[in-house]
Amino acid sequence: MKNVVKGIRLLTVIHFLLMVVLVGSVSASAQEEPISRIEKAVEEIIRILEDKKQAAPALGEEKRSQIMDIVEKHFDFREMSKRTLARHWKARTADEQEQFVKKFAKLLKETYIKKIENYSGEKVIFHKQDIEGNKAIVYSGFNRNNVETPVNYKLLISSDQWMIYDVIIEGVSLVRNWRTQFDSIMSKEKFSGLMARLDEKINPAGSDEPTDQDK
Amino acid sequence: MNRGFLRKARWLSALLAFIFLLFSTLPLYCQENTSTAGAKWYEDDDYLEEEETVSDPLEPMNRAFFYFNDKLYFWMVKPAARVYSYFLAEDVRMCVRDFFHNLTAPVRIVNNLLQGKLKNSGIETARFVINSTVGIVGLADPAQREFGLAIKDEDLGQTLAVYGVGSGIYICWPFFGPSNLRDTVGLIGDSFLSPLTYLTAADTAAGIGAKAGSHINDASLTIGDYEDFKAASLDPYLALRDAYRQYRKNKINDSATDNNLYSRNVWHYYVEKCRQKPEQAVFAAAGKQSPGQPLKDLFHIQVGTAIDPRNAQKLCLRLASLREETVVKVYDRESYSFYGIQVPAGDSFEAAKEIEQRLVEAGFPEAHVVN
Repeated sequence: MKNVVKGIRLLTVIHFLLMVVLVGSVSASAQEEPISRIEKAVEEIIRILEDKKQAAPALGEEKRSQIMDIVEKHFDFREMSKRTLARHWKARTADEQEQFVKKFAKLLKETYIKKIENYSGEKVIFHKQDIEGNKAIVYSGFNRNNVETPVNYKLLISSDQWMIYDVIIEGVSLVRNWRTQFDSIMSKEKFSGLMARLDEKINPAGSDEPTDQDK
Repeated sequence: MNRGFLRKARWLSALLAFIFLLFSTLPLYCQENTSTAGAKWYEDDDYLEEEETVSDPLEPMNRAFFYFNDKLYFWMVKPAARVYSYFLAEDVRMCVRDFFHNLTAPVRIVNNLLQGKLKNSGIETARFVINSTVGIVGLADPAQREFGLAIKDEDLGQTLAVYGVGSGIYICWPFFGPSNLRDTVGLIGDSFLSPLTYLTAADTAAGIGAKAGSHINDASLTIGDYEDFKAASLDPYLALRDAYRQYRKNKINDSATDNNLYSRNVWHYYVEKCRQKPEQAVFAAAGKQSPGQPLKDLFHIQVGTAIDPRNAQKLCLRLASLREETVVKVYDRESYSFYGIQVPAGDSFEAAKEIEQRLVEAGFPEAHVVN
């Protein structure tokens, strides 16, 4: 259980590490290699996180919005939404799909941006990449407490750029994990129920989960 | 009546009961492993079809146990872990973690054998011997650091899966967390190979104390993970159930551990590329430079040389674990090649000397400045 939870947590950190970096370093070449995109991205994020000018432990407002912009430009949220709603996607109207993409993106950003603040110097090592047609996978590892956790990124080409559509930590795929939850919620509470739950998560009325307990 | 016999008989009957449960619901099992076992990473566009789900008829009970574990963590494990980590430095706690991990080596050795992975079984045996002796009863992990022997994690649950046993129903145990029928049988079987079981049999309090201590130690190294996990999910119970399924499937197929292989293969690939053009031979391991690029820094600290690429890689891994950027230079001589493992040291000689000093103190006595 611990390994799995650890994996999920790292997933969130990496998720955002990726996001920040990818945006800042888009070059003129449309087909920049996925592995070097991600590598540069991670470096950029680490640089931002370790920026000594940032005195407070929490990211300032300006950095937060910078990161949010970067995230929007480099993760393919539409693709992720399609894959997490899976078989329920086609049944939704175009308007509902738009709304879902927006909400889901917001949830991911809000939830994970907190985690990125907890980065404390762990090393990221990139191993290799594999490209098959319009898809790619980048294998990397996250080194914490002398234990390396495998973290893989799946990308596909969207409007001439490699965009991330899934992150896999120790074999657990982010998209798959969300998909199971959404599937179960959809079957019991339908689409409106799912949207309500997403709303609740983004704006918790009275949070019952001790997410801010100091670590 | 002999108490020892009675106790053994109870264990045995519990084990038999589980095996009976397992086989009596056999039809449930034979599906899961065959479905997407051979799927490639890029064959994931079938998400619009029906999703493979976990059989969870005991969901209400599982949710109750999940809730129990959740409260147990926040009310007992986490506070204890925080106090514990106040008194014990992280390094020490990592040693404790390695110690307990080393104790369960027999589990990994036997299960690698049962799955026919003779080489991995040998690696785990070597790890156990090295870590128990050089690593001072397992407190350190020189097998990984010095010899590059990575963990080959196998257990009875994975072995059963390799033999074709399906996972069965999902069970969330109080205290132990998520599992399924097959993995639970696996855990019971593996317990016969763990010294902690025999300690518990001899002295219950000590055994349970050791187990709890190991758990608190692990928790202290990963505080925050569970909270983040909960914060990131709409339904933590479902998220954990699915994550457990994916995690186990990945371990069974050994794809999670393959990254170690990838890094080795990548290394050899690049070294071969560099060998063809020795004057440009630069390969950055865990660093910022791409192979084939001219060196950026004026000075480097040469940490060691190696003729065997594996030894060079071990040195690189050691440096990587110290978060040092490394550059490998391939020197081609008439009848042989060798590798110089270097750390970039900037453009100033004084700064380079400082780095050299630092590396010498960090355990690389042969480090010296080169340019």
